[in-house]
Amino acid sequence: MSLEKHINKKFLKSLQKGDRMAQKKLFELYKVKFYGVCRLYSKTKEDAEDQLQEGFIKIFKDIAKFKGQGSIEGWMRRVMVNCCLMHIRSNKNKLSTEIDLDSIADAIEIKHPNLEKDRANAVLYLIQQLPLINQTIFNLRVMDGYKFNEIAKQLELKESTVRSHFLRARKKLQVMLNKSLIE
Amino acid sequence: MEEQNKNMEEFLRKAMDGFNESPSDNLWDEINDQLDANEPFYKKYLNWKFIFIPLLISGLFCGNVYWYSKSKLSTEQKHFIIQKDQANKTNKENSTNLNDDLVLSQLKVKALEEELLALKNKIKTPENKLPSNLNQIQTSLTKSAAKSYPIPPSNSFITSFDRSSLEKSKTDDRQPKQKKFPFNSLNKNQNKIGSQGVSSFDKQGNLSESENEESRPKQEIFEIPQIEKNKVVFKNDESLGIKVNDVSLLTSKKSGLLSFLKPFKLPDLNLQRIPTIDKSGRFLFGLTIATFFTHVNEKFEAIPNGKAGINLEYQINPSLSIASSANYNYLQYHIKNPSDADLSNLPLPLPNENIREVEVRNSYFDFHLGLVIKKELNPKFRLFVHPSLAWQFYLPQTFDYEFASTTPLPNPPRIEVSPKRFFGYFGSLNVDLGFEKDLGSMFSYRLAVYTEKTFIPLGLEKANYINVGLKSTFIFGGTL
Repeated sequence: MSLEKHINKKFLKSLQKGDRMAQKKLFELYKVKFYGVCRLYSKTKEDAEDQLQEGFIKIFKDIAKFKGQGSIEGWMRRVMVNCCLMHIRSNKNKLSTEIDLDSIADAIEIKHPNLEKDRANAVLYLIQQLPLINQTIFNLRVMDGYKFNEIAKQLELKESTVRSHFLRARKKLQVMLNKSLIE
Repeated sequence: MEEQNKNMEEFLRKAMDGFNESPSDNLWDEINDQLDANEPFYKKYLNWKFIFIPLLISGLFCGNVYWYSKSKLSTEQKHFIIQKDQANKTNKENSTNLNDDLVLSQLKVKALEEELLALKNKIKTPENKLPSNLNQIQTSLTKSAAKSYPIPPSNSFITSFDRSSLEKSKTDDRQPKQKKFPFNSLNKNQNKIGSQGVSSFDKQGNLSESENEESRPKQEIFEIPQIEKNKVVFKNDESLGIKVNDVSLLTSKKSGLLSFLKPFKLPDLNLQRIPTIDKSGRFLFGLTIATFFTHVNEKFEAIPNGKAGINLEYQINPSLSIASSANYNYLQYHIKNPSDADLSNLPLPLPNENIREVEVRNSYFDFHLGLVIKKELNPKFRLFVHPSLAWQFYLPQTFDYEFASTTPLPNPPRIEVSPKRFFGYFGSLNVDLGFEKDLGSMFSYRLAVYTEKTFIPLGLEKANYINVGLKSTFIFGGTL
């Protein structure tokens, strides 16, 4: 459900003027949605909250530059994702760490929420089990619709590397999803 | 295979749409703090509208007071100039006559000196054989010389002309003339007098105007001695002197925006003159308490609100005071079944539109500046009207939301939101109308109908108020 209907011209103007109450209202409107985005790009709740905080600060700071072309929700989501990527880039050591998911999937019994009852958290949980690089590339491609060349540019990687990471991530997720559904 | 992958991706996307976990509750506070920290100083602490309007009003008021004082002073000066002109005119006439007389006197002195010299040449003859009129000649010579003495200003207010020396010269004929009228000392006096811009004599005994009339201070107006029959005499002692502090000469004409106050005696605000404080003014202090009903956004609120504060007044005269006050206000009202427009400015706790009622609780300080105009009905009882303008300083407001419940709960769900925000407004016009009763020489009591109307929307909710109530004030104080 789009929340964009709540953002009328007057509200946008207040946001662009830096009205604190309007900012709070926007935060209240989008905190759940963007928290979900941040959770997709992070491993822990704490990291997600840090990213969400930075993302909102960036949105409030840059919203004066938003000229009303296109969807404001789409613009805010891009800002939020960029913040998540910056956060990830700042922890490049984590990004470069390769984990052999095959071995993990076999070795660790994944205790995730019930897929039928709490689908969102279950999916989130499964995605978070991916190595950070795979997780990031998979989210950028599937959840946010970036092209491989754009992802490569964002993450300063070769496009072929990005494709490779994406394929591996998708394969692992399929395995985990199948396993979850069987259980 | 490709189809299967797409299905999985679609499944994951849709699954994430159902994500409904909230971040921690204090996240907004952290964001708020960070926004505060990033906000520039001038935005954080300065509300230009709030500062500019009071400054403009204060500036206009001060400017008008200055204009009023200046016009009063210039009228005063005009009167001095007129008086001085009259005095100088008389002086000039006197000076012209005096000058003619002096020329004649000098000629006489010369003739007498020659006569004396001739007599001295005959001193070889025994003294008792000197002409019998020698002493008479000496006396005449002394008196004539007195005419060429640069007569200092003898204005009774500032000068001290030594008449005794003249008297002495009349009586002590035996003393040499040079001692009585030393030219060195005359020159000193001449310089001194010249520096004051008065008419003075040069070494040759000619009367000269050292400076133009405009540059003369008021104290220059002095009495010119007349010469009658070889005697220096003083006339017009009273007619030429003008007392500097003769208030009766000053005009009471008032101009400027305060001219409507002409019937009242305004305090002397002229800073260029010594009497800057009107001693008749009184400072009064007061304690106020008021209760009022509020009419907010075209809805009447049945709950009474209140205010309490302190007053400071400067009583210009028994009919007029300048009054200021600082008050703490508590104002509470309810918005029942709020519309979208009502909620548009409110800090909503949730994007939930099922709000049944919002209770708004405002605490704020207001600062008033105005006039108290009184009409005496009897010596101890007066009617008064007190119009004033007020500045409001809002403390954090509280919004208590009551949500509509689908189940008949005894206590419907409520959420209270209190954003930590402070606002300043120049926001209302107030009029008090009531009576004042003296309770003694130092105390009085006022009871008034109090009305207040905002002229800009106040608070986060942007509300326009009309407050009507009763105000009770206890006044005390006296001359400071």
